[in-house]
Amino acid sequence: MANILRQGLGVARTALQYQQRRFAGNLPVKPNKFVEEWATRRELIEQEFKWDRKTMTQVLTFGLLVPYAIYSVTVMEYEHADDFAKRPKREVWGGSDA
Amino acid sequence: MVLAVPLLGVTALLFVPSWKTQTIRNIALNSSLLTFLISLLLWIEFDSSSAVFQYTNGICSPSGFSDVTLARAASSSSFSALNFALGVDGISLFFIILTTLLVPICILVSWNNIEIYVKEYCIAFLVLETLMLTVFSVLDLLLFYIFFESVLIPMFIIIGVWGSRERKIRAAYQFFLYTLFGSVLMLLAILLIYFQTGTLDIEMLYLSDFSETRQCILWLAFFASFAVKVPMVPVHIWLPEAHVEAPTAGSVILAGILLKLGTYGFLRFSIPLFPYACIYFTPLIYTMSIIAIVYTSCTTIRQIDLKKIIAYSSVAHMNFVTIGLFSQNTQGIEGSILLMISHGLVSPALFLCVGVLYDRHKTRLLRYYSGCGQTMPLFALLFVFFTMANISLPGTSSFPGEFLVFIGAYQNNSFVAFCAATGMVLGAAYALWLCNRLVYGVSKPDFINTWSDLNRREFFMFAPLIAGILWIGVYPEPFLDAMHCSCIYLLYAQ
Repeated sequence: MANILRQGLGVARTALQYQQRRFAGNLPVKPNKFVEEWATRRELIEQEFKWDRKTMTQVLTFGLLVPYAIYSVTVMEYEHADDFAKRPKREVWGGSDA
Repeated sequence: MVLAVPLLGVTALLFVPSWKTQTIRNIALNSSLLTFLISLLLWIEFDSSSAVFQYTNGICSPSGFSDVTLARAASSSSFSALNFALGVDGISLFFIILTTLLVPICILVSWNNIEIYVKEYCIAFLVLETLMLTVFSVLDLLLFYIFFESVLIPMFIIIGVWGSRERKIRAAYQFFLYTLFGSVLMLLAILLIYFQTGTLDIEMLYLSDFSETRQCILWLAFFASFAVKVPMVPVHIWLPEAHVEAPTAGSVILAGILLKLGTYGFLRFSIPLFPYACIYFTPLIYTMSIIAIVYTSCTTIRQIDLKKIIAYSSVAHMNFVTIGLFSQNTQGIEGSILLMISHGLVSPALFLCVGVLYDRHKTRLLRYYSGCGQTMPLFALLFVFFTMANISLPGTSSFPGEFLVFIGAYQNNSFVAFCAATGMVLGAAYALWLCNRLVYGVSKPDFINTWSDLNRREFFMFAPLIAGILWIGVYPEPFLDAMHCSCIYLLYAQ
């Protein structure tokens, strides 16, 4: 059983290494170790991602606060330009009237 | 006729032995070229002063609203009303021509690099072409849904079988599941529409009225399906993954046609059927589009995979399109359609460029390329041209489309127009950075012997795209004329 597991792990490791090496393709350049690792990490981002204070703050900021702010300003802009509510036309940068 | 030719090609391919690869490729190419020529006839014979669906009875006999619609209405009392009616209007015309233009290019790009299951590959593309053409021309909501979903099957096979790496299976599943999940809600909405109106005929539905609450529910259900296809953030994850793993021809079809299915759905169904809900949800669409434009443009700047760069920039451009569509004015909608056509030329061209590099060197990492301008001058010239078209340089096809979208958006909401315009600046940033890294720089001595410029086949692949980009960029009038009446009808039908 342990042998089978070890073999399985070996195959998986080889597959991962094989995938890492393939980024450079067959160009006549020496594969850059850091580029290869970074590209691999980017592909497996769902495995690398961890919930911590920093990522939680980022998710809350860019997932909730920023969209809410954009939504609010968009709606506010509509309300400012609402003809049916008898609001005057907004003049952007002084308006176009002479 | 346009639908029949690729199917005839498929039938012919079934009788050719699998080992005769050259014959198979020739049959596939010729049938797709013939389809393209016939689709051009559609444009030549098209009556641009009419907003009704044309060619409903035959290729050269434009038919009015009355006879076809009333005949279908007469049989709409039961579910047998679901009939295979086809028609073309000013909106679907250019999507049909775009589809028929891109499929021969897809077959040409795979001429040498697809060596296994060539017959199945060509059949998959011809079937995919038929399905896409049907989606753009079908006049029944349920049939639209069926063909809209069935496009997934050949695309799933193309990514899963002829993809480049081990992750292709994962990418194919992701593509399939994302799009299918959204569509389940759409099917429920279609059933609700049928039980209220008793018909699924598009022209009849344009005349029917839904309550405000029901419009909102139906709109959300349709939105769940179309937003995945566009794709809008946060349901865009499948796209870069699918692009990276798909073969070059798969990426061309994904970027050129499949992304347009979502925006075409908005245009064909959400806007004319649910006008109240469209106005109600416009701030939501605008918010999602702005986030998508800024977020994906910023994400593009930090990518090093060539295909991912173009995939993320596609997301940004398609969200320009949604802004134009929901600006609810003629300029915005016409600009959106023009931008979709333009994106259908520019983005496939950029994927073809990446395919040219990948065929030679089997890597897409930008880090390993440098100084292409010295070793591949013709390729470098075309790459710079397509990149400039991607950032809407005046004189290229994206410019009139984006300009009209901005006019439409500004009339509706100046804040949204301002935020969307930042996407153009960011777009210029990543495009110039990409050009700088790929085309300029020092060419390594080892590369000089191994790098070869475009061959004749590759050049002819790019030629129609260059012509299209310049034509729309310099003289977009014929395109705008053909779509104008249909756009007006779409906006003011109710």
